[in-house]
Amino acid sequence: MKNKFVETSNVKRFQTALSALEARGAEEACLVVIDGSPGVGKTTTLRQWVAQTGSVYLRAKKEWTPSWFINELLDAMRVHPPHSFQKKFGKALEELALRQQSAAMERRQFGLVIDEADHVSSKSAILETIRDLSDIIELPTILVGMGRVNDHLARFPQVASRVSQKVRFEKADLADIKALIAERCEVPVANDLAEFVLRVSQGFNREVLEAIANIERFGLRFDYDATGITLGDMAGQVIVNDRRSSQPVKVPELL
Amino acid sequence: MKAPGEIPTALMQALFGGVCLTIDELDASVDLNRRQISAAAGQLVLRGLAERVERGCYQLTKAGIAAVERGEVITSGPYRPHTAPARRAAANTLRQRAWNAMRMSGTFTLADIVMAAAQASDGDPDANVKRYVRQLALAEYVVELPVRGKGTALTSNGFKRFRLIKNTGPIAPVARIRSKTVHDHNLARQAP
Repeated sequence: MKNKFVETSNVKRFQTALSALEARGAEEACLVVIDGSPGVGKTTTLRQWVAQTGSVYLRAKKEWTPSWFINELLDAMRVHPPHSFQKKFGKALEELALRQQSAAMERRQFGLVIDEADHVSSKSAILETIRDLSDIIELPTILVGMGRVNDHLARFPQVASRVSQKVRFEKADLADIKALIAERCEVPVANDLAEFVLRVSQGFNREVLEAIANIERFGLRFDYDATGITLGDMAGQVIVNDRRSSQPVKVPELL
Repeated sequence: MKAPGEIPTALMQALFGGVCLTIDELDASVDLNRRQISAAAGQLVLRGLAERVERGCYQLTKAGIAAVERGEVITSGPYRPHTAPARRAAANTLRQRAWNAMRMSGTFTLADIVMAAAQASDGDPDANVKRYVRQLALAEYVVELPVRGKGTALTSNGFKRFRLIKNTGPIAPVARIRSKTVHDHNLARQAP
């Protein structure tokens, strides 16, 4: 399988949201919420964005307090934390602002990414700290969750009003599946097989990649024609493991 | 309002007699208040032009006497070469982006890192990242995990999985191939 990052419709929506954030009207609205089920490509997309931009990435913990959060933030930037919370907050602001400034000079995006934000999206103290950081230096802050962040934020209107962009990562559609196959699979795949992959994977990227690996394994020792590997060619072969039952799903012999 | 450096210059000239003068004596002889005298004396000591003989008592050093004889005027600005390591923005290289991706990942395979870090302009990102991770592993920044990820090819032994154990900071350590060492700009030192 080729190691290539594929711009699916989710990635495009994410990039559009970030572009819209840069051209925002209310300057204090710097929060972006990304939601979606596990396995739809949130982490892969964020990892690529953080790697390319050098942004600060934190994984929220269930028991986070504002002080713990700021300590982790300073640690991520390799800054020795001062003693009092007030000084820690000031230091974090200063360091983030420096990095933001340096990114702006290089015309590169920069932000703070907080993954697993479901853990903190119902805690007002942390949210207020994040909002303050984001507001004071107009720092794009991306909260990544698994579907509950928006619901939780509705309880805090002062924070919810700062969310300028909401991106919901959806399951892949046929166009996404075809793009993933075209970019990552080392053998050509016919349309009927791509449609079957969509059906058995239910649009989850993890399953799609598993299917691509299986198609490739089969295709590299099969004499396929110009249309690529078809559904008929792969009859009887395992294509993916079912997410819920963990049972292997085979391509049917007769359709 | 006095010009920058005017106060320490005035104090330096007042101390020219060569004997140790207390703040009380200086307060009586120069047109400066005690706080200004104390701050200016501190500046002279920092520059090596004066020394504190005992608490609240200052006298010029040889360098200080020579400076007054030369008619030197203390100005604002640096008084010694700036030797601290320059804080430069990290270059946007494949290895820097790969390091960014490793820092945010728990465990990772080479494919994960290449996908996150590579750009269209990179020559051979797979080989480059592989060499880089190998150097980091030799320098004990990265450990290889005992269980491999499932491979995709028919005869694959699986993908090696790694974990970053020494996350020293935002700047990617530089792998020096010939000396088989890694230089870490975050720590300003070399790892074996």
